[in-house]
Amino acid sequence: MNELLEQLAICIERGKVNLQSPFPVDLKGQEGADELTKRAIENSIPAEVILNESLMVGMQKVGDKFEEGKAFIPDMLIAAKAMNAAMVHLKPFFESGEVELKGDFIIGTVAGDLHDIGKNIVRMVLTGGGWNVIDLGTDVKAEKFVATLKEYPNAFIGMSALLTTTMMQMEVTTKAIKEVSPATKVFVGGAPLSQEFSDRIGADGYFPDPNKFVKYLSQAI
Amino acid sequence: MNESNYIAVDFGAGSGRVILGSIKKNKIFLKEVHRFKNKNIVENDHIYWDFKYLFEELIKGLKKIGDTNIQNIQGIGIDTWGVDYGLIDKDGELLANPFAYRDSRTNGIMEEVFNIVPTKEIYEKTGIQFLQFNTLYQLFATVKYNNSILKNADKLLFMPDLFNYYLAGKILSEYTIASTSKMLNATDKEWEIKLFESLSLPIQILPNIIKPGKVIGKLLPEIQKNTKLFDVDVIAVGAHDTASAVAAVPSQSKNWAYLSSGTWSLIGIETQEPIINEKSYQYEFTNEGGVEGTNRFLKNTMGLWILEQSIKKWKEGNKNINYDTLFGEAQKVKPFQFIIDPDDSSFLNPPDMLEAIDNYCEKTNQKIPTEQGEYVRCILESLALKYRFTIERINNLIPNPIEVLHIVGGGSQNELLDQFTSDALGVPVVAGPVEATAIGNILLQAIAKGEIGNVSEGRKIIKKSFHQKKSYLVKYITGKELIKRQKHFLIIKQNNSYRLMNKEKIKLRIEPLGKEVQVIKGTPLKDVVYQYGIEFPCGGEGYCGGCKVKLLSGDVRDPEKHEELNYKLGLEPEYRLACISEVNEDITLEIPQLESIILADNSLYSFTPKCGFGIAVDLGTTTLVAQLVDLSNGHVMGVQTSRNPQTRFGSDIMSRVMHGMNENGREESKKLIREEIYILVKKLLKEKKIELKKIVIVGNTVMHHLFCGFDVTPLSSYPFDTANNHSVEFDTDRLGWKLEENIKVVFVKPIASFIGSDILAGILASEMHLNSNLTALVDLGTNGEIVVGNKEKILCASTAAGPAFEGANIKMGMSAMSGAIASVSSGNGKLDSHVIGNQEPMGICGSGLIDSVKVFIQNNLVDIGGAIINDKDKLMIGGNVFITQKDIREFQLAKAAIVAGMQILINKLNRNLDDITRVYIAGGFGNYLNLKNVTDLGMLEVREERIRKLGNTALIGAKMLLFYDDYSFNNILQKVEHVSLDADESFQDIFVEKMFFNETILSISK
Ligand code: B12
Repeated sequence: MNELLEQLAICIERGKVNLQSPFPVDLKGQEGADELTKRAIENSIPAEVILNESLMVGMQKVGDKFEEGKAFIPDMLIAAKAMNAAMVHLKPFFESGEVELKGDFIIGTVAGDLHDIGKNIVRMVLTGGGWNVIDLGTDVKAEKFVATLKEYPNAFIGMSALLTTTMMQMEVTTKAIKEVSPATKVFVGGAPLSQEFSDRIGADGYFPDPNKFVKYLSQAI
Repeated sequence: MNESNYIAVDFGAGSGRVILGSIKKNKIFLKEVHRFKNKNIVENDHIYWDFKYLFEELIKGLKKIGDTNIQNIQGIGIDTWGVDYGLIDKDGELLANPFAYRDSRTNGIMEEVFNIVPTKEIYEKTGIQFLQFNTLYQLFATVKYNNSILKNADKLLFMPDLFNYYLAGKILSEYTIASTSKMLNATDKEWEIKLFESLSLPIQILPNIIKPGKVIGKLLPEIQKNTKLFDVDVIAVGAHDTASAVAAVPSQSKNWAYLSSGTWSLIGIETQEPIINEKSYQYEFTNEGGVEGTNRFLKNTMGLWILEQSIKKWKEGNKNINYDTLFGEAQKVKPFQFIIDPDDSSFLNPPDMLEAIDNYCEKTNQKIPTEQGEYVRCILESLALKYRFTIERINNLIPNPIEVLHIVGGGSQNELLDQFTSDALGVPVVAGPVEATAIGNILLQAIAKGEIGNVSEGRKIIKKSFHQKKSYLVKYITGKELIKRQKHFLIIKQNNSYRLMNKEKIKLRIEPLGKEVQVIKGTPLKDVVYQYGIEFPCGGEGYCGGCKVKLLSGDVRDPEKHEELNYKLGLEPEYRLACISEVNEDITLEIPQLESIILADNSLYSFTPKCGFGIAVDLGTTTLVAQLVDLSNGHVMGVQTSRNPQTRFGSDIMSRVMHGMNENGREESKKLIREEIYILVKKLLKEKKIELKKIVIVGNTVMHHLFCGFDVTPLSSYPFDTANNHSVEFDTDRLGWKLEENIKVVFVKPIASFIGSDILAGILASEMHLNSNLTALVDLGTNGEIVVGNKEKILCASTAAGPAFEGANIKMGMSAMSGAIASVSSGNGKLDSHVIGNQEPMGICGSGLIDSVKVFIQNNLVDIGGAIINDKDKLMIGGNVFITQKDIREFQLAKAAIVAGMQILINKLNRNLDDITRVYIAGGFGNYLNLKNVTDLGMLEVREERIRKLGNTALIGAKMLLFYDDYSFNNILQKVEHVSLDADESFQDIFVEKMFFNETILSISK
């Protein structure tokens, strides 16, 4: 494989944003995701190849480590930063339609709950996995999910809740969504949840880990 | 019709039986012919079996059969308990009666053996766990104490082998019985000669081994004559009774486990090969030989002994016991109210089993059973949970999880236990046959004679012949539910009863409380007295004298050390510092600390004396503590603790909120907690003729709402409001408490939705509202409340750290109680840990978790990002206790939440962390907290010397509040401001940044 793409994948995995960024220490003074992506485009590597064969590979790698418990939240956040730096350069290609994303994904923390760190990580992993993510933020009411679904009718929906008390909002929201669009797939996540719970409220699946979730979604389409 | 008969002789430690088994039309029938008692005889301080007597009884039984006209008797098979043996000389004479396994000559022998051959090595070869009566140790003891007998010994025969020898004249050792000796190699099934050589044991006394299901020989002529049984073969059966019982398990499927249920429980699986590895060793599983070349992988745990002993006690009290009503009542009792660890050493041989159960429940902050049905429920549920625990461990070691449990033996008739077991395991339970041992004995005889082809064929016949009852799970108890309901049970680990049995117990009396407790010799005094509300102001360093106790009788270890310190601190000679004392003999203590309210700076709280008494209550989410205080002098006259009964609705406050969101749940929570506090109050007042004036209760906001009966719905979701934030006064009438009318009960007001009156009380105890320097109060509990301020302004926040520092949500986590690893350190490559109560470690509590993370990082087993290096998923700490990768992650989340909360508060005050001159840590587990590790790990970013452990600040504050008249706190509260972290922009960044550890930790001295 192309050495440049390989290097770029490493920058994503390790969270090397650009030349200036001091982390990780052993990559100090080297080019980061920002520079390498720019160069890859200049070398006329197709944007799609950059995305699929480099950025997503890097993201997948940290994701795997995170899943095993060997990487932690800060590792994910910094990888996502590097990913963002790369995406800036790829944006025109998405807008022109030259590169197609996997699909739309609406995400939000349910009504009554403001915990959003877990949700943000899921967003980053999804973006890194080639999805167009619409993040509705926290304390998102059922109506808001439904209204957004009207704009993105083919979107998948993901909800997050961290409180035993707000978990119940997921049931309300799932019902509201399924009522207007029975075919829409709704997924749930957050520390206090379980597959059992997901089944009970009529959602389409619970995922404790964003990485597994992205793999699942890619297969689902 | 064709009918063949077999004689099964089953010797037990308590009784023996001769049973006639007939096989007719492919079915087995049993008939008991003779039954006799077995008992030990004691000579010269040693305990023996009376072999001659036993053999005579055996012959009596055979004669009874010989006297009938039963035809076609094919064989006799003998089975007995394991490990015991006799020695015969060259002429075939038994040299002496066999020692009984309970004989004390093996005391201390295991250690001597381990000095020669390491424990692990022995286990790797024999696959047998360590019980001091294994034949190996018995033999070693014989060599040591009575070598002369060995000089004359020609052969060693185990109990069944001896009977076989006396019946048929053949010197052979049956394989399954030999496997219990710990002298057999579990894999190649031969004598472990090397071990004998290393221990200088005589190899020549080992007989040849015969496999079960083989004919040994005909009855000796004189026995034929004597019994009128001619042409009968003596047959080697599964001569170890459990081997016979397992042979008779009517299993038809693949993934099954058995439970041989009687006084003891033997629980395990049948495997083709022994399972000998690190885990099986730690879990203390044993590998014994089975029939047809199988291996019995099993564990010995407590059985119906506890029930038998309880019933005995009721009978002594002349209570009529009707078993139907007893179990019927038990069925009606609410589940999981009382859970004991059946293998706790206190149940081994207590003078009064019921009292032992009471004590255990009290010790573990549970309610105490009162009705017979409650005791029975407690015992059976606890056994079922223990079975679940053992099966889970087996599942950990095998590829396919257990799908069905077969219970055989007398205990299988206990249908309620069968049902509970099924519920606990989540798999069907098949109960029966009751007479599994005799049936298995007969089965192997029939196989030897070619009447039945093999064990699997035999099991089909058994299934048809005997009644079995199948219980299906009524309600599967999921792990989560279990944790919620009985957090403490999960951390009950396999107590090795035998090992503990040898530890000496000591009596400790605490005045002025009048409490008497039993502890294991060598237990640090600190482990004991902190449960009674004693604080250790300097954190157990021995320099402040705050935890001094007065000796009324007896002494603690190392009086010289204390004398020196007493001199330095200017204490009278009869004082000892609790924090550095070890109990080594029976003692009586008086605790001066209970005589005054000690404040944060180790000064005394000054108050205006009042007449009468008051009770201060700290109503915690998990634990309740109540102290009776003499208002004329501030002395504590009594302490009571118990478990919050609402824990049945979940362990964390949000599940309490959940439960209280509907009318019924709210009523139920209110009723439960009011009743529980009333019980504590009554216990405190018991037999005391005193005038109670008031009761002050503090607790978090949810507890406040639930006790007062307010709607908790506003606390359930954003924006998290309180329904009522006032101090509430009650008359005893309104609470349904039968106390004097004029007693005032106050639940003190919360500060904000997640900052309760426990924190308000903490502010009072720390006196930060009076201080001009910046002071912080940090509660490392689940809600992670942080308060920073001085006499001008006080900010507080709840950082929701989660329960990691309390040992919850941690794989082997537990609260800081007996059996918890409370501190860990490392020196020359070895981990050293302190277990509360000086016992076998059962789990790890918050302080132990903190220490181990630090130690592992410094020893390069965990990197500063928190990942375990080397692809490992867990790290061992001591005993069977380990921490997992996920545990470290939980720790990091909690730590980062605390640090972020603190940083945001100090930013809001426009000050620096360095301006905080004092940081007080609240909470009971603080006693064991190593402050250096706390700062090294960056849990608190302040200098170590500025941190003080303040103990139960809520309770200290509540005691101070007993002297208040006005509970509106307008003066203090106008300075206090609550900061909502969810509204804070910077929280996430700081939180994430603080998850990793600081690189400097690697260069800090250990
Ligand atoms: C950080 C934190 C906060 C922060 C929140 C900051 C923020 N912007 O999110 C602050 C301090 C504000 C806070 C406040 C509260 N918190 Co809080 N908080 C926590 C804490 C410490 C960590 C949560 C976290 O971020 N975890 C890390 C992330 C990455 O994990 P995660 O969210 O589970 O997400 C992962 C997966 O679940 C999954 N996932 C998540 N969502 C989704 C969605 C989909 C679709 C998929 C596929 C996957 C997925 O992927 C993620 C990555 O692996 C926990 C305790 C703990 N140690 O866990 C308590 C905790 C969650 N909080 C708790 C509580 C009670 C509160 C409060 C209500 C009360 C209080 N004590 O202050 C308030 C109110 C908050 C509000 N307004 O909603 C409780 C919940 C208890 C319960 N069973 O209900 C906890 C468990 C602490 C405790 N008391 O035990 N909290």
